[in-house]
Amino acid sequence: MSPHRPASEHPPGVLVVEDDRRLRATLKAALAAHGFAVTDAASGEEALALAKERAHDVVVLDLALPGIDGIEVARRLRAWSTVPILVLSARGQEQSKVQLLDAGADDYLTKPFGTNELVARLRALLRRAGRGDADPTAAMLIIGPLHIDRAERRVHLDGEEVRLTPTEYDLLAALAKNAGRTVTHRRLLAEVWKDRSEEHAGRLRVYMTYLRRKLERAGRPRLLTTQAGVGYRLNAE
Amino acid sequence: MAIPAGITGAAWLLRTVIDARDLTTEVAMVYLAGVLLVASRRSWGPAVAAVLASVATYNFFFVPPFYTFHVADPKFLITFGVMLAVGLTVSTLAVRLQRQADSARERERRTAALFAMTREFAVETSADEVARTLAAHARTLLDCEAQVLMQGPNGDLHPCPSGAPAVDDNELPAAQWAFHYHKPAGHGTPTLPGSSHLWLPLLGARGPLGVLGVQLSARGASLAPSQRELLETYVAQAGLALERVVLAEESARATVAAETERTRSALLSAISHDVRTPLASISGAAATLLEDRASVDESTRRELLQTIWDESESLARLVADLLDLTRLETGTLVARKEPCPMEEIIASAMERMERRLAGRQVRTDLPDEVVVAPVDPVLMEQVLGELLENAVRYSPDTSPIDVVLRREGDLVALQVEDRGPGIAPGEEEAIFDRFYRGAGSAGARGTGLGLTVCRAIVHAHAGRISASNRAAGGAVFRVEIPADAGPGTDRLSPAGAAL
Repeated sequence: MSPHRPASEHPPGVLVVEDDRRLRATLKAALAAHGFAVTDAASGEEALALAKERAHDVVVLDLALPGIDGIEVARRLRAWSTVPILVLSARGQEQSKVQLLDAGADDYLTKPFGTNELVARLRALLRRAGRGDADPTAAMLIIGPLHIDRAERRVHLDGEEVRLTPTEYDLLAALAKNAGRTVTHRRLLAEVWKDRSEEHAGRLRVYMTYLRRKLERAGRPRLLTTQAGVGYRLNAE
Repeated sequence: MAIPAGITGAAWLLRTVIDARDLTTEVAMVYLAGVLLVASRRSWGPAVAAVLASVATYNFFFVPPFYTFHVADPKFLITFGVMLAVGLTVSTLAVRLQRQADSARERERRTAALFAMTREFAVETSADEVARTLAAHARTLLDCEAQVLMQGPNGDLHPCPSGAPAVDDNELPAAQWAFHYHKPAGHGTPTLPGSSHLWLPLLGARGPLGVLGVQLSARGASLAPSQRELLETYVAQAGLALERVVLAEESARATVAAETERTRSALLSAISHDVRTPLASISGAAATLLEDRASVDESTRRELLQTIWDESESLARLVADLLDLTRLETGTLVARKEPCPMEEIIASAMERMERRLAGRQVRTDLPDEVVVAPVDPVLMEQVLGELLENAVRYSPDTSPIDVVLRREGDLVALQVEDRGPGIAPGEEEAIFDRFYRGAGSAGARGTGLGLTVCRAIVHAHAGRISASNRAAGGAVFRVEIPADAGPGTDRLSPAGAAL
C-alpha cells in the first residue's frame, strides 16, 4: 500500500467505470473483497461527474463505453487529475490501447483477466502514485538492479557498468523516467529520435533488441517488457 | 520505262552490229522478250504502259519507214497485235500470280498472328489478361491505339489495364451502343461515325462481355478489308476466350461457396459441441454451489469453483480464436506488417506465456545477428504463443521446450520443439484443420482452433507452417516467413548504423 495511505487508516478508493451490469457487480464484489472502497459508474459521463465530486485513488475504466468512450474519459480526466487509470480492453484493440496510453492512461488489462491480476495491477499503480513518478530532475534513477546516472550518462546493472551507445542510453533513460508504465512506440520515437511519425518504428525495435541483449541475461527476471503493437515497459518491481 | 528503253537500245545494237535491214522479225523477238520481262515483274497498270511503250518504240525505230509512227507494211500490224496480246496476257497472269503469292503470305501472317493470340488466350486465366492481349494484338495489326472496355459488376463499362491512354468520355456512347446492340459502332460505321474509335463488341455465348475500341481516326489510311476481317476474327476469338475465363471464374466461385457452406455447417456443429460442454460444466457446478451449501464441503466447493474458472477460460479462448479466425478469413483482420526483430516477438510471447510456462525449461536458440522480418508483431506473438501452449499441453510436465530462430536465405524460420509423443504419421496436415484433435490429444482440452488460427496468420504473412517429428521424439512446429522486408527494413540497417 502507499506509504502515505496506510491500509489501516482508510481503504484505497477505486472508481470502477463499466457499462455491463454483471461485470460491474463482479468487479465491485471482487475489489471490495480485496480491501478496496469501490464507487461504480455505468457511463463515462457519470464517471467524470463522480471523479469531480470526490477524489479517488485509482480508476478502473472500461474501453468500450456507451456515450463518451474510455479514451475520451481518460483524456478529460487527465486534463485536471493525476489519478492512476487502469483500462480494461478486449484483445485485438492494440490501436485503442496506444491511443489510451497516449491519452494518459497508466496501464491496461486485456479481457478476460483474473481478479488477482487486476488487484496486483491496481496495487502497483497505487504504490507508484504514493511514491510519485521518478523525479525528472534527479541525477540518479534507481530501478531495481538498475542505476542510471543521468549526469554522467552511465548505467550500472547490479553494480557492474553496462556500456550503452548514446541511442541505447537515451532509450533506456526514456523508459526509466516512466518505469513501471508502458511507453508507446510513438512517444519513444518522439523522445529519442525527435520523430513525430511512426515511420521508423523498425529502428526503435532493433535498438530495443540491442538494449535487451545488454541488460537481460538468462535466469534474471525480465527488466524490459514488450507490449506487442503498443510499446515497452521498464519493470519497476 | 527503263526496260523499254533498254530493249530499244539492245535491239538497236543488234541491228547495228549485224547491219541487216531485214532483221525486223528478230528485233520483234527481242522486244517480245522485253515485254515478257516487263509484264512479269510489274503490277498491271505499269505493265500495260510498258507493253504499249515497247510497241510504240518498235514501230518508231524498227519498222519501215524508220523514225515515224507510220507503218508501210500491214503485216507489221499483226506483229504489233501479237506483241500487245502476249504482253497483256503475260502481265495479267503474272499479276494474278503475284497477288496470289501476296495473299498467301498475308494469310500466313494473319494465321500466325491469330495463332499467337489464341495461344496466349489459352493460358490466360483472367479477363484482364485476355483484354490486354487483345488490345496489344489489335495495336500491332492496325498500328493505332486500341482499348478494351469490360462490363463491370454493376453493368457499366470500365477500361481494362491495357497500357493505352484512357478513353475520352465522348467515346462512351459508341462503345455502349456496340455493347448493347452487339454491332460495330463509331468511326467508319453508320452509327455515331463522329467517334474517333471503331468499337466492336466482344460477344460470348450468353451475351456481350466487353468492347474493343481502335482509334482509327488517328490513322491515315482506312481499314483494309483483310485487316477488318482479321480484326473481327480477333474479336470473335477474344469473345470466346473471355467467355471461358468468366465461366472458369464463376465455377471457382461456386466451388468456394459450396466449400464455405460445407465448412460452415461443420463449424457450427463443432462449435455447438465445444460450447455446450464447458457450459454444462459451468452451470452444473454453479447449480451445485447455489443449491445447498451445507452438503458441499470446502474442498468440493473449491473444486467446483475451479471448474467454473477453467471452463470459462476455455470458453473465452474459444470465442477469441473463433473471432480471430473469422476476422482473418473475412479479411477484416489484416496483418499490419512492420519490420520487427523476431527476437522481440519470442521474448514477448514468452512473457505473455510466463504462467503457462512456469516450471518448464524453455531454451531459446537465436543467431548472433538480429533477425528482422516484416511481420505483424501482435499476430506473430499469438502464433508463437499458441505453439508454446501446444508444446506445454502435449509434452511431459518437466520436459524442456526449444525455440529455435534461424535465418535461412530469404526465409526466417522459427521452430518450437517439444519432447512429447509427437505427431501421429499422416496427421501432419490435418492438425491445422478446424476442430481437428490429434490421436495423442485425448483428454487434452484445447479449442481445436489454435493451430488453424496460426496457419491463417502465417498465410497472411505469405509464409508456411508445418509440423513434423524430432528424430529423438517430440513434435516440431516450424514457421517460415519471407525475410524480404519492404522498404522499411531496407532503410533500417544503414539508418540505424548511422545513429
